[in-house]
Amino acid sequence: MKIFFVSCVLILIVQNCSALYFHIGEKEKKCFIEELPENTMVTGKYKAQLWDKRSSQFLDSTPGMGMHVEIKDPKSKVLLSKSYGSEGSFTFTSNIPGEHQICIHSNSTKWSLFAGGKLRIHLDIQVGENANDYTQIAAKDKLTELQLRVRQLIDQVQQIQKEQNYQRYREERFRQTSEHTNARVLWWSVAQTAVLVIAGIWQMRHLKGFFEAKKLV
Amino acid sequence: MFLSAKAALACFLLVLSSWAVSGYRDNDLTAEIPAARRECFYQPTKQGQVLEIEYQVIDGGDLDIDFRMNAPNGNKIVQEFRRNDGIHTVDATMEGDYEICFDNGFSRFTKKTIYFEIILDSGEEDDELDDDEGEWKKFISPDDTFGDKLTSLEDTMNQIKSYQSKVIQLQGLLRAFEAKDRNIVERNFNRINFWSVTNIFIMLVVFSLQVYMVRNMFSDKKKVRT
Repeated sequence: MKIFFVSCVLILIVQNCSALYFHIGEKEKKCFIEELPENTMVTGKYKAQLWDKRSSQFLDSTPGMGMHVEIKDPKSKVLLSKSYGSEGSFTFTSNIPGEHQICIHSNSTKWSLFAGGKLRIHLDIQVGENANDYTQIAAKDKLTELQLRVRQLIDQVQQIQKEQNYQRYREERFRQTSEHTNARVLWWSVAQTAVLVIAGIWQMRHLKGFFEAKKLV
Repeated sequence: MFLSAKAALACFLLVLSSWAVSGYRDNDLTAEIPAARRECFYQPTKQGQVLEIEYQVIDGGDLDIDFRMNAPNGNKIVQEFRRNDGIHTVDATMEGDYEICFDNGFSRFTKKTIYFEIILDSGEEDDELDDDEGEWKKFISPDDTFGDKLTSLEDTMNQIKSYQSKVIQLQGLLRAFEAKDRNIVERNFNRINFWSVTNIFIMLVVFSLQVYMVRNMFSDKKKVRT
């Protein structure tokens, strides 16, 4: 009874089957960028289907089909680099705030499967509070329904708060870059004027000396 | 460009605020489109939903991209060329897969980064709200004094949840705007440095060349006489 109710609550947050999909070629690598605050959990679910020429449709779970997922943090350090089957999910938590890169490509061992075929990948990436699995949380902490809903609201507010902090950090970086640009414009202009003036003076003196040596002046 | 970004934001806010508490799924992605390539994404839809696609280019070159949207039967719904951002809505979707394509074919070297969001609105009240209400009432013994308060509490919590979801979604949009501005500013910084150094270098080369050529003109005695 309780499980039934919890699963009803889950419907509010459960993944819809109508996820976005795209096509990918044999050696292609598709990359997505997720800008994340720190300590944010991200869950990605994907499903790969191969185009079958005989039945002219996309088939699931071809044996030997695998996808390689690589996740890099803003400093280009690899957070996750694993191969999964044709259907899988990956989870990671960001340590530093910034732009994380999620790359996915096929590492199928049987290249003959491709032979000019296409691969269709359904992808669903959930960030922050949406990535939480509330059945597990409810079971682990033995929450009542009201507590579960309040917990979800708290998670949402925490995510909003983290995003606001991250916004402040980004704005500071933006302001620093603007101020640096402003200072640089001034200094480069001064430097260029100085180079112009000095070079002009040097030219005149050099040529004057040259003409005097040549007894033309 | 700045004006159209504000207009796009205002437009999006207007659409956002017109939604009631209804079930909608949103899926936002930031994808990289390599140079001279076209990337397509497909969204499966059911009959009679409201599909909204909103995109903006946040990094790369002149920050523009070609956009095309096709219906499941192959009809072209929208086609835009060299736009920075756009919002499009399909009010009554057919059953099938809508195709959304970003074409970076016109740029030979620069890859583009695009932030796009697909919002699918089922257009009706959540069915699961009714389910939850039924379960909720079964779990608690009916109590006349508290019954109404608990129902209103439940309604309030659902409202809070939906408002917070909109806040999170709006934060995502603002994040994309900020990323675009930040990329522009950083690119300006790099450009200023590079071209200033180049400028000084060229100035010095030209000055030296001038002196050298004048000296050359007067070095041969036969050529001196006018």
